[in-house]
Amino acid sequence: MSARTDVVPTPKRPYQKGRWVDLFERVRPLKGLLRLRSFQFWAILPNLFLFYLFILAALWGTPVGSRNIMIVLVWILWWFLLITLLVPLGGRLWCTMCPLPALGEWLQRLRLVTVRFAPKAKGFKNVLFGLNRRWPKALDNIWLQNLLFLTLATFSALLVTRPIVSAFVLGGMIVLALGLALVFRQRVFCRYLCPVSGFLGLYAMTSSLALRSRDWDVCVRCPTKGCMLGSENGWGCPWMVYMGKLDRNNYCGLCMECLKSCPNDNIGLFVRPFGVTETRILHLDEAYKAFIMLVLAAVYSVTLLGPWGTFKDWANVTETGDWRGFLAYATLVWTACLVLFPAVYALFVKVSQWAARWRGRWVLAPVPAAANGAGEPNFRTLFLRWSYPLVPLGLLAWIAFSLPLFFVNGSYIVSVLSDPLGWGWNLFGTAHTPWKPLVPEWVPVLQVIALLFGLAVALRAGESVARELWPDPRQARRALVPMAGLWLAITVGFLWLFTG
Amino acid sequence: MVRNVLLTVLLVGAGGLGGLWWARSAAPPREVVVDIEARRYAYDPPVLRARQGDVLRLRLRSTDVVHGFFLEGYDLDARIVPERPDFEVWRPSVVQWAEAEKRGELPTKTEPSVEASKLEGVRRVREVVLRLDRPGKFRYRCSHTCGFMHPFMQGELIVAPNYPFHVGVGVAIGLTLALLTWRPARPTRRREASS
Amino acid sequence: MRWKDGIREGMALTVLLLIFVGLPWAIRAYENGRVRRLSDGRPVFTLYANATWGTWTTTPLVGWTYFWRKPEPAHIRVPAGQPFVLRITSVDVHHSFGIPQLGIGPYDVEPGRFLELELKVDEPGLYTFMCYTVCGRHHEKMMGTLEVAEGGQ
Repeated sequence: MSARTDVVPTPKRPYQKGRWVDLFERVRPLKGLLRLRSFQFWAILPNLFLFYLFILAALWGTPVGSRNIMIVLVWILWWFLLITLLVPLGGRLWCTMCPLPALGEWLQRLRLVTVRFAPKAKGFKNVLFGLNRRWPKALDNIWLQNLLFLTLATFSALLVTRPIVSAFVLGGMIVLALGLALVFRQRVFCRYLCPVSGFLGLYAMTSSLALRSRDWDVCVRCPTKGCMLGSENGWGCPWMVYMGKLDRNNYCGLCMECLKSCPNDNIGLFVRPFGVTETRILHLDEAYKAFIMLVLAAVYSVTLLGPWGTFKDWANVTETGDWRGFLAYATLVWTACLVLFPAVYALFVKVSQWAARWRGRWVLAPVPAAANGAGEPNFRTLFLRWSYPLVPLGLLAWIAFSLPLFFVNGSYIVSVLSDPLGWGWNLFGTAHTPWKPLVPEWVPVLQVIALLFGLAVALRAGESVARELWPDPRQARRALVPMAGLWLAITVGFLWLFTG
Repeated sequence: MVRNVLLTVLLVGAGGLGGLWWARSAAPPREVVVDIEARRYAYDPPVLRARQGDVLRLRLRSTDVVHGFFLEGYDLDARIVPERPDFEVWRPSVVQWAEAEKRGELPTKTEPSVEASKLEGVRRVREVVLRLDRPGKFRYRCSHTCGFMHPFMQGELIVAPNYPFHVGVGVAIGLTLALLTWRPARPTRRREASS
Repeated sequence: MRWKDGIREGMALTVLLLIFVGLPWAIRAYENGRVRRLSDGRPVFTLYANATWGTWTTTPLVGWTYFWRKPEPAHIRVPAGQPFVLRITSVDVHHSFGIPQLGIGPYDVEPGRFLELELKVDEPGLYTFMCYTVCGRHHEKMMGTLEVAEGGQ
């Protein structure tokens, strides 16, 4: 039994004509708009204004969260729009307009809208200010993002209720991005450190929007590789992506520079059906991201949206002073995410491997070599492949979690727009709009629909994984049974948490 | 393909119906007195389980600061002041206590009990009687800012039959079984998956 | 850099600077204007009620000061017969404001919202205002003083 190497099929044409919608064909002005040099600047600007307002409000406005625009607009409105609309439909579209790395990137480029080009330079053709170092190879993964997101999640009760904490975190991210931009080249903060970027990248795998090269043969023959190295019309990809090989949404930040720097007009923006099943998790850090996000969806649902005061007291440590409880809480969360759930998952993958090998009458025999000569996939391959269905499952669990945040507390948005700092203003006359949940008794029904949809997509993705791993359909079916059982159990668990 | 779709619909439907059957209950309605204590940041008891048709006599108390009690689905809101044996209650929830205070329409006398369905305006009572005619899961939340974790202060009132949960579980099982019986449209030669 | 690029960069930079300088200035200017309109020539006092220390204070308790600034209990001075405005807000939980000796209140003070009272006291003296809603451990000690001096001072 030889172990098959972890090979992802590499098609020549990354997109599927006929099944994908070419947005540049359907919406003619879009291409011109995205190719404007100032496109990203104008996309970022309103958010930069808003985040500036949020930080000012957090520092000098009322400490009462529900009356401060920092809490209401970030943790109710922005979070809800991000996870329910922007991510499933647009993937990493938030990264296009995110203001956090903007100052650092503009300083690194010493330009706001135009390009600095050095035609004689070897390799990277754009000129960047700063130390221009390469990010260390050992950190060329998302482990740092996994840990940073876990850290933020441990303190989430403090983060989403105190405006000043949010200000320090967002301000800290801006400063960190700025510092990193002056030491390293390109968007190192976004690619390797930003906690939001970590889960955006993971969940973008399933989403509809995809920026891809139209024809990889053209890329192979391209003499300049402008998309990666830059040209006089565009900066080299700040996400360090080479379009000639890009077939997943994970690390493309949709900044649209490659549209401008590609000399062959070979980049297209496509829309495909949500719930992509053909993409794959390739590395352990990504698999762990899927585990962490799924477990955290449950943790948040128990701590923040659950009826049990003990967890809230543990998480709300600076007010209760219960540091022992907080330590217990943090230990529980970190072990569940990093040890317990991955161990359970590994167990199910092992059982699935045995199930596939089962030849009847309790005989576990090695699988005969498949038609193409490859042997049985090794455990690591199985583990990584089977972790992909957790992506749609997790995304819809987060959507189900976020629905009550908006439906119950969305009315705060109306009042806070008239009085952003809680200083007694009434800009639009809505400052005294009372708190009124929006049909809260129907939220459980919406949550059920979201969770069932997530299960359906996960099952379809699981079927795709099984058929790819096990050419024999009966083997694939047997391998699928334990995994589908686990996804069903996870869904029932969330159903119980939200509606049971 | 048709076989797959038909089987899926059948299994999902069966799951849903199974859920409906699981949810049913035939016990007679009861009348229960419930003492709910509010503190930062939870209610005690955090979860109330009851059946459709039951009558709850709610007595609300606060042990530290002013809390609220907004019951989803019944549009009932209350204001619980600490160290008092009574509380203010009103329906619909949008009749704000603050507006009533401004107009000087706050109640001055404490009534022993009031029925939630017959409530209008703000009343001060020792107990509010709730007739559970709607099944489902309803959360009761704090409606008066009581501190940092106020938006997450909530309890649950689960009134059987809780159809969304049971039907949801049934459909989930149906979906899983449907996938496991799904037959691919063509033999597994179509392996050139491209993303 | 070509001159056309220079214009584009200049425009973009101008917009950025307008935001960085303009937003705090606009907030400050609007607030000053609003308080001026509210005061209408009368002195305005802002009281922050907080439960952590159990005080009514005139020290502004805002996002970055709430956690570490220890507020001084309020002591307000007005001349007798002078109309004045009291703006009262809470920075954490519901409090209740009242001046029992003058028969004012109690009025609910909602967190993040302002209660605006237009008052005039003719009798000179020392009046205490208190909190009428249990707001925490320090509720009983939550008091401030209103000193009404002889007219003309």
